[in-house]
Amino acid sequence: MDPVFLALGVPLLPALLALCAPALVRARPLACGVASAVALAVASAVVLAAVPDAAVRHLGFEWLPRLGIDFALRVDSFGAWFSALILGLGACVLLHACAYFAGNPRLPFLLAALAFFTLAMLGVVVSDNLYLLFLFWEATSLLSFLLVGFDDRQATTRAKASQALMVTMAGGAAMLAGFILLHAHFGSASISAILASEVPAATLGGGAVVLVIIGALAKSAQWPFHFWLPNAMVGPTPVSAFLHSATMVKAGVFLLATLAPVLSAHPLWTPLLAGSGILTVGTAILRAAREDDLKAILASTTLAALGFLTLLAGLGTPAALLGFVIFLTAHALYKAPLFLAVGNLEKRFGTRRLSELGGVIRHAPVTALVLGVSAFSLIGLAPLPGFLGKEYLLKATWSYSPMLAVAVALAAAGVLALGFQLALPLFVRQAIAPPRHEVPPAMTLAALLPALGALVLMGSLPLTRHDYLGAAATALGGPAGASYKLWHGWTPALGLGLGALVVALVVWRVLRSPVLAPLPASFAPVFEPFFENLLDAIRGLAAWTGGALGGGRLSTHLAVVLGSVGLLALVSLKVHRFAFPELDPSPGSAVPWLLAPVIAVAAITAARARQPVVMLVSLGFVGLLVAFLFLWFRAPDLALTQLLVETLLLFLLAGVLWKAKERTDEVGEALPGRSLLAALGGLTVTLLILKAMALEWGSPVSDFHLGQSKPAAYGANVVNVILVDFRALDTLGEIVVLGIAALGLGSALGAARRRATLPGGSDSAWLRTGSRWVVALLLPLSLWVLWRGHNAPGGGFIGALVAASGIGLATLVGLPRATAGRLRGWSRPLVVSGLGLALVTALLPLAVGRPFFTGLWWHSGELHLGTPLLFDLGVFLAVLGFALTCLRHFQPNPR
Amino acid sequence: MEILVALTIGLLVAAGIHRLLGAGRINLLVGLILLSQAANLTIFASGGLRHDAPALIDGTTEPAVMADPLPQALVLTAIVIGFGILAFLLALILRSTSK
Repeated sequence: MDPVFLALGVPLLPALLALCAPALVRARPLACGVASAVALAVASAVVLAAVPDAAVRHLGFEWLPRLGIDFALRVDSFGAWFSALILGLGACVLLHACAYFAGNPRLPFLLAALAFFTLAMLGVVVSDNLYLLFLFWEATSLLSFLLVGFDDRQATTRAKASQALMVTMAGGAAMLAGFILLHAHFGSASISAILASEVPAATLGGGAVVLVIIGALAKSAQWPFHFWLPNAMVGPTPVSAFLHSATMVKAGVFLLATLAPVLSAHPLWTPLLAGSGILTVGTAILRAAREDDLKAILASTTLAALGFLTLLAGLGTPAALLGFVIFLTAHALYKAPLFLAVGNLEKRFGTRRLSELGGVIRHAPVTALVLGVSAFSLIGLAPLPGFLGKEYLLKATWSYSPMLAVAVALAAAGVLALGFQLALPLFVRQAIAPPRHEVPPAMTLAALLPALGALVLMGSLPLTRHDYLGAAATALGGPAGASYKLWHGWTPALGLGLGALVVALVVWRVLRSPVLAPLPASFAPVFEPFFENLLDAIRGLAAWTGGALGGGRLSTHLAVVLGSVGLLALVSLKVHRFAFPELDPSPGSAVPWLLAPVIAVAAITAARARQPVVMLVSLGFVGLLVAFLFLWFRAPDLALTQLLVETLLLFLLAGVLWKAKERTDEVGEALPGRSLLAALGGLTVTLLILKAMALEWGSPVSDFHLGQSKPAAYGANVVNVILVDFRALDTLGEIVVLGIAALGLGSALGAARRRATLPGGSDSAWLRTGSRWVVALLLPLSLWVLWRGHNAPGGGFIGALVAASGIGLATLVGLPRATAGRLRGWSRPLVVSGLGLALVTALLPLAVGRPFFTGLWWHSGELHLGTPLLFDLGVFLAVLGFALTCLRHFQPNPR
Repeated sequence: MEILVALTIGLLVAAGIHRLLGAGRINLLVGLILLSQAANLTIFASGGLRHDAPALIDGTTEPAVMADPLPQALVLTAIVIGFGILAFLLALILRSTSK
């Protein structure tokens, strides 16, 4: 595999470290942070080396080809450059986070979430399929929710994190709709195919463009969705540094710039994006104008920078895309260190308020250096990257329209003024707030590294033969052979930039004066209340619907649900012209005629019983007789399963029913007229079944199963072969459901340390002695049942149930080897190893180049051994583990 | 024969709904058990009811007379899954009654 793709997978390492060895991360946070950072930095270097290479790297496989969904990755120069930025800044952020949260027991969670977040963001950048990009896109939204809401004990944190999630997910949903329309218009979901497409974009429906734009603007916090980003400041500082610099919000503008070469031909593209971008910049300046909190000012400058990037993507010209790459890089390289530096200042001085910070140079010299370099880069002083960013922004807009360039320069002046604000603490000599804590060197280093990166980038300009930024811009759709330089001569852009700097100085003076107090904090500041009111309205509607359909009474709710399903069934039956189906009139054998009335009596008894014993016995009878029906209609595997499940169910039910007897204050009340509804329901189902049975089924699927069972899957028991071979994917899903149910049981009962009380153990010496022998027999028997299952009735499900019923008997009579503690020790490893084994046997064929779940066989004479048998063993283990979980939680209390 | 099985299933459904719409959690539980028996039988019966031979290949029996194996496989897992769901429901009932 190409080393670039391996490097892109490196963030998995810290994630695995945090998931597999959380204790190690807690004990040695710094070492783990350094190791993670080094891993990511190495990956970043590997990816960086691929930037000058004009070749495009592809990796992937067909996933759902008929839907156009492929797992396709594509790394061109721009993808490599952006990935290197993400990995490099990710290294600094992981290091900072590990030092920042040293001693916090939830550090492993944060580390894992950050690493997965990095991975998801890389996925967005290198996806070559719209739907794959969407999946990674949503993953970044979900993970950023976990990251922003890290301090989840605070109600405001939870509220703000939820708001960010809602806005970005709603945008994501709109974007998916837009993607589907793009797919339909261009005839392909592959991004490279769309970019190379001959189909004109101008004929694309406006809806598709608007939907994609909504998704990108919501993600990048552009007007009118800008409000979530400043609110997301409740997240921890390293998280903010990452979200604001290279990830999350950059995803939106990344998508816009990627699609710009094609979609900028659409008449809606440029006006919508340029308008939103400029309004965002204005809103950001208004928000930050009178702000005292450094972090809030930083958030506003992020909004503004993204506004400029949106504008550039909206123009979509080659010059604008060159500006986009340079501005994006410059912004990432000053925004991350600024956030980390502010976090360090807060640690050092206990405040991040402008009015309270001073003496930074003396008390935190390295942080002061970082702050200075980064703030001056933001202001756009040569020779820092921010200067280039501003220069190319103005150059691109000037070539598009000089009027626009002047407007942008004015807007930029406002942002530059905010940069002066950020640099302000450097010029206050005396400490206002006394220095408190020493900042750990790792945190200082983490902030210093990206600032140094910016300096290295600029310093390498005259030295390196490879033009990284130029190659990246060319790949994105910038001018062919794009390059950049510091000095262009006396150009309009330089003039505008100098003018903006002068205006910024004036604006900065005005910003601090109370003249601006009456200004609103945003253009049209109604969107946030509107959004919150909309959410409230949806919640209100849901509550009203719930109340209208039953008002919290379960039986009414159920009647509404069952009634609706029944009505649907009657409609589909065309009940108004129901012709009674013609069925075989011969009565057949006498056995079913004997069984059916007994089932009827048992069912009616179960429907009317009030005593727990009567309920138990009648339910048991129903189950037993259904098992006989299965047996009669030649389904021995079903009959066995049914019998064993009934046995175990009886065991579990007994405790609950007994317990319920002690409580009389049952909630709710019976629905009046339920007998009538019940009769109607029964009648409907009877008619449906008669109708279904009258149909003449062709059964090509079953014919295939019967015909191929022996020659292709080496099994005589077709039911078992279907379970472990032909339809093994279904079975895998089903044992996963059991695993989830086991987890649910554990969290519902285990955490609360409550245990069901069964009616005590038995004192009968006969039972105790006898059950020892029975249990000793049942366990080997279960393995034998598992083994024979491929050719005779039996198999993993049945074998596991045999073993479980043996252990159930042991717990019932209180054998010492079946205590709750022992069962607990066994149940989870069994479930995990069973699921793992099943998954491994499913994946094993991939290793030898065969499709997922292909059976691999080894033959020796009459003996056929294959992966389906191993899969059955996995089923056995998982089902046994689940049954033991049940037994453990419903075990009788020892006398 | 088909009418007989259909009537039996209908009766199980009626009994299940009757309990389901009753008061309290135990009715819910018993109703659900009865309904899941009915559901399993329905899937089973949809494959056609045969009394001739099980779906075991022995080299002499013609596959044409064998019982349909696919609904059997589906119902087999449905029984086990149903057991899982009921166990989870039991846990919830226990949790909500023992306070």
